[in-house]
Amino acid sequence: MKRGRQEDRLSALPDKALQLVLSHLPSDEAVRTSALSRRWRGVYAAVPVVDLTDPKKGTLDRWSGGKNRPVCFDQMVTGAILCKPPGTPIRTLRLDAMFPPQDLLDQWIVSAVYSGIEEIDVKLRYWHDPGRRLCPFGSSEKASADFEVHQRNRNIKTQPHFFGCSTLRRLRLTNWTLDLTQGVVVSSLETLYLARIMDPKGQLQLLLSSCPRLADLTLQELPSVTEISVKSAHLRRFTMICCHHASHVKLHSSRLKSLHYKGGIPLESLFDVANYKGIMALTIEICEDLSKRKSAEVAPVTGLISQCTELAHLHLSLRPSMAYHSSVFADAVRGLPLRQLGLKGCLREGHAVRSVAVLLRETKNLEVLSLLPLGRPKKKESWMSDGESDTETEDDGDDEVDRSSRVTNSLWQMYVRCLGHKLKRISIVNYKGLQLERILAHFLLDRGKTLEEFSVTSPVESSQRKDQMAWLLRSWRHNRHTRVTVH
Amino acid sequence: MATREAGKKMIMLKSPDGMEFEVEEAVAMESQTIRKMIEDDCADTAILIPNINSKILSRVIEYCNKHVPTTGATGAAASDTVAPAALAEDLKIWDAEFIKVNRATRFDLIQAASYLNIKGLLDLTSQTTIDTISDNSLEEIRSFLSTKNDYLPEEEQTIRRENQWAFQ
Repeated sequence: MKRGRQEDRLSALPDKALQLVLSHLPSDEAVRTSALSRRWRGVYAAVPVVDLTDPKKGTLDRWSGGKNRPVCFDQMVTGAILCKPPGTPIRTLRLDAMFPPQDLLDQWIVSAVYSGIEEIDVKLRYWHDPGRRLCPFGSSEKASADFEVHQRNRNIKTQPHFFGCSTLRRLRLTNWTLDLTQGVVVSSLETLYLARIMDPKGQLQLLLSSCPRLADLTLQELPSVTEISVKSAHLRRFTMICCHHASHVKLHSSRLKSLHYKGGIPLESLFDVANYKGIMALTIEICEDLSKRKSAEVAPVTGLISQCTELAHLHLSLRPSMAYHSSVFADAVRGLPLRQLGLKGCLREGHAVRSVAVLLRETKNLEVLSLLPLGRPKKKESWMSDGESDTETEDDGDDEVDRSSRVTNSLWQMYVRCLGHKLKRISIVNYKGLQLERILAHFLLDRGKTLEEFSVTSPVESSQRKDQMAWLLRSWRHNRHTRVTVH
Repeated sequence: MATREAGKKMIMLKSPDGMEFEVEEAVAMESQTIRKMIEDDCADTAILIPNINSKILSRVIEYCNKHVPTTGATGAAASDTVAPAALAEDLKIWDAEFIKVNRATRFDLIQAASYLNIKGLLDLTSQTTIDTISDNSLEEIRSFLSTKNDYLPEEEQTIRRENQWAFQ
């Protein structure tokens, strides 16, 4: 692209648009734009956002971390708050901090709250906590649904101003200890995200009951969640991730549109939803290994699916493999008006390919299919601490065994109605072009008469290999108009 | 010229190059600027959108069309505009595809989104611009944006000193 003679289109935008552009940048980068040119001189000052991430990571740089950096994180946050001219509010405070001094943290929050804050997102990190996911099905030996004994209740207590602010609409807190001793008034709160919160006094229910306008609630890795009830009539979206002690969740809202559950196989009575018919989107991720369970034991999951009779979007993440126990899931989705289906899981055994097809046979109105094939699950190893990611794409070597003939015979005899009638878009993320992935892609493309788009995202870096993949995929198309892309 | 079609109120948008676009009122009201015009009753005839050519306007309408159902056409408060996770994911894929345009078009879209005050589109276009300039040195950003440094050296020094914490 020629650079020299281009006019400066961005600088020509009005201040308001530039401020919006800058509000997506970390605060230090936004401030640095003031040195670009006179046009940019004062633009940053009116950006109502403070957004900074502490570069300190873990124990290794504990002592050396400060030395290489002329300005420490604490100074940066203070600088970013102070450089706002009078009259410029701070609407968004987004911090990711490694064990900040508590008096400073209090000051930052109080300054923001008095400045008309609407969104607070503070993630804390600690030297004493490696950040292990609180899931008993993790791959490390220490895997458990609760904090380790020596860590309990050591997290910084929540700031009273979080829960006494009348302008706050979105609150996201990670790694705090819940403390509501000074009361709760959060009448304006619409979005609440709580992750890895210690709750020694069992105050979570009190907090939830004090949010009458709550529309979007996420509870992640909260060992204190057992029985909860969300009364807000505005609740549209509920997400619960790895709250493994949960036994009963009552959602009173009749407006609930989206439900996301991640955990082990739930109790039959886990969810009590006022209006199942309103649920349009359902995401279910089961983190335990289903190969040890009989298909009848999956009933609480399939029961939940089939109760959502108006369901349009379903995402399923199962292990050990994609669409595991597909015959019972096929029974559950039969007759649902599903338009979009997402499947995540390993695709390393021949039956997994067939399972996907078995499920697709019952989703007759499907328009969009997204697949995320994973590598083989990790083996348990004691020294490994599993971080927050659980994509578990290990090795991949190449396909040792040739499974093509066994899969092919049973697969190609199947008739999948949606592929010939409705399905418009298929996307495969993490496509490596392994044998079983190829077989599935071939089958989908060959049968996809109505397919408009087949897009693949591949971790392969060589653009030559990507071109080869695209060429091969194109050669399998039934419909010449299907657009095939590989990114 | 608000007409009715299948029970939905339609609005006519005109670009300065003379093209006319008939869109549902709910779709047009994705733009806060147009919403205000309609609410203030300044929109009984076709609305002329200055500075936005038909090519860009049609793309903006395409964006609004895609985004209107999840935002809820009732004009409800933000509490009602939460897109379900799966829907949001679908939209994200669509957005990523939508924004695959050259730089000139992207800046046109920023300009249009800014004038029409369409927050989602402005977020999307700015985010994409930010992704290309983030983590670069000032010199690199200047070169990318074709911005000329018109500061005197001592002026630039002053600016750096004012916010030294950001210019480490």
